[in-house]
Amino acid sequence: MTRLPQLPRKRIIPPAPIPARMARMALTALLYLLALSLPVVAAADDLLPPEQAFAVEVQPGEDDTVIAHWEIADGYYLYGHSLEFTSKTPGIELGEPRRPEGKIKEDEFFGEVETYRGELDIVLPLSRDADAPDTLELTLRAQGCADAGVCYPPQERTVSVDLGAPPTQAGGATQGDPATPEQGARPTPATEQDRIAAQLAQGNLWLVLLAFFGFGLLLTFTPCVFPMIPILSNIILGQKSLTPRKAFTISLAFVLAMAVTYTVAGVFAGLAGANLQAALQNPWVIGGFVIIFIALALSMFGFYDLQMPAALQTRLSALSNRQQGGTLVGAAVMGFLSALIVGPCVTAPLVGALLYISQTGDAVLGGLALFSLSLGMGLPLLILGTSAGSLLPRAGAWMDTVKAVFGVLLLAMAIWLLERVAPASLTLFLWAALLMVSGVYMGAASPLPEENRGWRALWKGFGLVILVYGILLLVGAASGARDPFHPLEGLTAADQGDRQGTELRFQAVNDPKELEQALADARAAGQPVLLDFYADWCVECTHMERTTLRDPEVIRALSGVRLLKADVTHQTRGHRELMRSFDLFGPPAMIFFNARGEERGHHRLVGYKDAEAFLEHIQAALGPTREPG
Amino acid sequence: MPTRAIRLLPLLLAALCIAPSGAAPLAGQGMQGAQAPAFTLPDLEGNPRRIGEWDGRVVLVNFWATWCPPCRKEIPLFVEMQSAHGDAGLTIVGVALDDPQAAAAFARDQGINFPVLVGGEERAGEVARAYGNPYGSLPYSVLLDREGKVRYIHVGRLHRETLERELAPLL
Repeated sequence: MTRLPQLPRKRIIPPAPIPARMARMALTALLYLLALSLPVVAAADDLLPPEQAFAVEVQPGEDDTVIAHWEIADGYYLYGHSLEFTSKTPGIELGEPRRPEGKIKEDEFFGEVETYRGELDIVLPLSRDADAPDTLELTLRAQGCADAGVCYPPQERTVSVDLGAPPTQAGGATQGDPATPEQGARPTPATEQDRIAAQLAQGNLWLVLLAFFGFGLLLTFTPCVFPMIPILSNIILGQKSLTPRKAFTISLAFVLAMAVTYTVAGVFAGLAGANLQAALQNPWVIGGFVIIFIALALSMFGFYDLQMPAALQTRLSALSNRQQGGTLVGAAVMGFLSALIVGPCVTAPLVGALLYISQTGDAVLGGLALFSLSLGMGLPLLILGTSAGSLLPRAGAWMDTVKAVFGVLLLAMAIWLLERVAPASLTLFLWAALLMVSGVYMGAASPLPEENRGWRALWKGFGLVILVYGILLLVGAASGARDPFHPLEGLTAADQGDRQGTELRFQAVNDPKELEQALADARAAGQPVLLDFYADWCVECTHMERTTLRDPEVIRALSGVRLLKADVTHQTRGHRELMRSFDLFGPPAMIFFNARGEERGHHRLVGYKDAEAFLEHIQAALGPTREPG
Repeated sequence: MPTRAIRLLPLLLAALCIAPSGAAPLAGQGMQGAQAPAFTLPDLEGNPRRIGEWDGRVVLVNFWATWCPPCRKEIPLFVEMQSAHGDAGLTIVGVALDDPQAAAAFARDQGINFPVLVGGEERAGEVARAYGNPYGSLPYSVLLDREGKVRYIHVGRLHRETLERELAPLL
């Protein structure tokens, strides 16, 4: 039994100033694009120079190690047996190099040889005498070939590695906790969230806050923010006398409450390692919120006149003497609840900030970053809320229509929330009912009046579309479909048969013990492993499940990989232990292990990736994984 | 961060080199028809040998090494060709970018029946460069006619049909 791989707790990536980093990232991306857009054929006639084919750099690692990192060009490979490392510095000895398992190639002269493609990291343990210098002169020797059938002479290179005070070269790097000075540098820029944690570590406060504000803005059109729109609009529309100023203050109260909640929950998660948002995903809390939504929707439909939310408002305005106080507090309460319950989104910037907090214990900077991330997410809401106040008509039939639309949206939110805890067939039925009733209200079933047809006809047309889709959903619910976007999947009998072959099959793991067992099995079978952290309430997870993980290319690429899924929907003790063992804050996360059961730590995936990006990621994390044939 | 910059540089160069793909540097470009550069290297017994010694014969200069699997694969063909066409005027000259002892052991095992010149990776590598192979990538073969002019250059493993096709007009 091997121990579960642990993410090193203290780990800060060597930072660089953000503008330089970004410029470099952009440049790298541009160059890769340029390189990718051209056919990469190592034809015998135009070989890369060896230092390009086998680019290597050496950086200090953790716990007295150095890490040699190769980037091997496409169509080239290195021989494992050819790798040699020598220390040229007296007083520093090299231990046994730790290198990952390569691909075994049968060679008629050399027998079984190990080869490496893509990225290769080799960890060299050092033993240093007390008076050894801080600079290691390291000689690396490696030999490789091109697929074109040409081999390069062994490349020998001597590099100097600065082992002294770790990553300070970017100037003013945060050392985190001074009690742990052994923080080393990681060789590769690693994952997006790690890079973000690194950016935080570099410490230019204003740039960091600006960057996180930007990240927040980028989240606007994701499911992390979308659900907030009907909620906020509802509050605004519920006002009797609405001035733009009032709309603004209400929106601001909502957004600030949301931001504070995100920040506090985030800091808490980072310090305690427990995800408050995840903990709130239980049927009772969700059920309570569903009821609130239904009540709000009904008031939008004019069943009764409900000031937002009446009970809370009266009680809270009693506490506050200010005239608007009640509404503002109400908005703030909704912002608070929405952040906690409606949109628990685990995104790369969020995880980056959380990682930073958990690694350094620096809740202030991490918290500020989270706050500006939330403000970024809130800015579009603020604009929307304020303009809703001045753009929307105040009375008349139009107003009733607008209110009804938001009412339907609120009901949709209620069903969407319910999806996390209720059976799929039930929620599909509810979707069907919602759409069909809305369609009928839009006049799908009533005749058009003789005159004044224009807008009514358009309206009726939309109503018909919605009605018909609602009927499809109803049929789907009756025939065992689960996904509102594929209502007829239960009926298309033709692919019943080959569904087996075109769907990924995951093995469930629910606690660290089961994972260990599954990893041991994979190791025995020599299979790499993909561990997918998933939850029903995790919107990014379900999105990825419905798109990326159904892509035929992805399915083919994962054919040789053992697939494990930790469905942490119910947040049991085992689930929490499992997440903690990987320092995860919640789904979505994908963790990759090589065939020896070692985590490919630099290749963790957090958040949504489309098929193309995901394929690239698998390739980098696991190398060629396709089963032959 | 100088190391980062260095890592980017090859990428930049690669992008620049690959972009106008027709302009990629060809191994041995411009050598066709040129007089083969003269050189002297020790053979496996340690005697210095000049390439000029074999003037008047058709010479196949083959750059190889024991660490190069495709080179090892093509050696039996050269042994066979040497005995088949030696009388017609073919001399194969092996140049090993390798440790002389490793090269000698391999030559013995394979029954190499043509001269093998050594001199370590360094000196042999210089000869390879002079013959149009900037990176010392192997295997690499250059066919010279009886006047010592370059007639054919081959990067990678040389197959029987190709070699016979190129040899025929020269012998």
